[in-house]
Amino acid sequence: MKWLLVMLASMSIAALPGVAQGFSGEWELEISLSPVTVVDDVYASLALVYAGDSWRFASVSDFTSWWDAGGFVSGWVWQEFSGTGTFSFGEVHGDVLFGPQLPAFLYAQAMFQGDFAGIEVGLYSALLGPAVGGYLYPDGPYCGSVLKAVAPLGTGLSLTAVVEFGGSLPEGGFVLHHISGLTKIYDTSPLPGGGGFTGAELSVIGPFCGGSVKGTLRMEKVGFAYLSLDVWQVKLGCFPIVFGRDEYHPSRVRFTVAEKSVVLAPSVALAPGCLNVYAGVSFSPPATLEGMVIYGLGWECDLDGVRVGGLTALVTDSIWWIPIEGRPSQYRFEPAPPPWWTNRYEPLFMAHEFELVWLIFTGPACCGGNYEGEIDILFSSTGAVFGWSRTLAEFSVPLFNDFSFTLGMEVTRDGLDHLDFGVILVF
Amino acid sequence: MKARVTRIGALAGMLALTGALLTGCFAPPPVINATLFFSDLVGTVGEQGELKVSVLEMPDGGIAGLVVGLAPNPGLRYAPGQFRVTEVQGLNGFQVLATFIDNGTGEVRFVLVNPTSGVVNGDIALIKGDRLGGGDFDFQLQKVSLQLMAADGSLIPAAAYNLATGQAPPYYVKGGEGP
Repeated sequence: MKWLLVMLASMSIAALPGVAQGFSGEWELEISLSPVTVVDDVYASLALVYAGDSWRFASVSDFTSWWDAGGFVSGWVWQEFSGTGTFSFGEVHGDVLFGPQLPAFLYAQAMFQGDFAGIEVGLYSALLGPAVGGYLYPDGPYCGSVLKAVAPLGTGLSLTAVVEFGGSLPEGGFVLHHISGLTKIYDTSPLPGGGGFTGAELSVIGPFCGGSVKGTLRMEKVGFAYLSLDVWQVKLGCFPIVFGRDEYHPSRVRFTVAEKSVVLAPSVALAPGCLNVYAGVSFSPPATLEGMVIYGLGWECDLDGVRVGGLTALVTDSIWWIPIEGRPSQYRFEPAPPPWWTNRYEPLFMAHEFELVWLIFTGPACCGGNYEGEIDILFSSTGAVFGWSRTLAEFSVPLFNDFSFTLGMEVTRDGLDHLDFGVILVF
Repeated sequence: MKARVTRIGALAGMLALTGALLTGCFAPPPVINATLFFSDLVGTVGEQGELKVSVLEMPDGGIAGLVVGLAPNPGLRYAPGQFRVTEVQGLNGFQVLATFIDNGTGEVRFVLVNPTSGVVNGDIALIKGDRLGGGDFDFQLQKVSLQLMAADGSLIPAAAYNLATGQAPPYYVKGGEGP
């Protein structure tokens, strides 16, 4: 009955701001039903915002459930408070995160970003509480800060200086996990901690051969770390081969104290009409191009309010197709996922699956707004009828101006896997 | 007037938070001695859970061999109702020569060796399994159950290193965020 108590508590709290002035917020509830366990999952979130002209305070509470060895468990997982203020000299932002399950302080960050004489300056500071575990030694707390400055040099060039005092600004964000699977993502990492100088980077970015180039010098506590030269979106003459996909997947030459490394990261840029060709170059380091690889073919058609699309993945090993925000139709192709990728995404395809067909339909709802539905059908290389593996369906419709209802389901070869109901109330 | 007071209050709050965080930042870093470290259990309940075996400041060219569960003493102990070990993987050149897993009592023993070099700082093994429950528990291991061999072929005496074992906390960080 705990999940019921969570629901009732959430609804009671949601009703309070309705009588207060200056508040706004959003309350969300999702219940997932399963033929086996009846209630499979419950998630509730309550966001309260108190905002003025140049400042904003928010509180976000997340409740969820998970299946423990002893059965169904639910609880209050995250409690986050945040504040943002915009002033003439810049913007300040702070977040504090608590883990009510323990209860304990988990994480805090403070950020200041301003513009001084055309130079963008940012000061980021974060603290990780001792209640947060992981691959950390010794036990926390961990604290770190980062000072970042970006100065334009004219003609498209910009100079970026980053000085790390026990902290960093990880590319994929700093991710905190709960055993239920819920995560929180922030900008500033307080690791490796310690507060003293841990690293500094000086980089120059500018245009180069239709693409971009970035030179970086990195120093660490022990001395010189590396000197690297990155290029991306640089085309090879009239051939449809591009070196470096973006800043985070560049072609790179890097010199360290011990070695020189070269990563060319070539890819093929093909866009024949509505067909998406996900292709790459088969390549042996340091510089041998061996051929072209087609990873998959995607297509999409717009039929007056109904969009139909699909994806056939020719290579599903060692590459990742991932759905953004859990929607298979919004998949993304990532041939070389960075280490933080698994913190953020689940793969699109389950075992033996390789093909997806999706349908999205929208239209005006009865009481304002638009309804939207999505049906995704996945096929595998094994199985009976056309290799059908599973079907996912999601439908959302606004019932009132500030109240919408969602319905979702997943059907597999074994039958109905789960049925989800959700409501979102904006006040 | 009220809005101005609120803005000033917000700014003061932010500065106080920044100051508090910065104050904590400039504490002196702890001195790390030679340590064999079994991390916390990381993973979502009902899915894969794992913990790392790591070393810090290992002497004599680094660690090149490790026995966990030196007979007749037990190996790494865990709560069998919360975690079920399925595999031990070597990292950074370490190979697993032998593994013994008893999920009935909650014990794993293994032998690791790096035939090419020693590791002074870094991860040497990954213990994978199924996270069955979200209850917090302590991994248990004693030095008498361990044998560490350095890259120069000598045994690392128990007095020359620290042993640390983790838990299974409900909140954790993983992946590239680690130091």
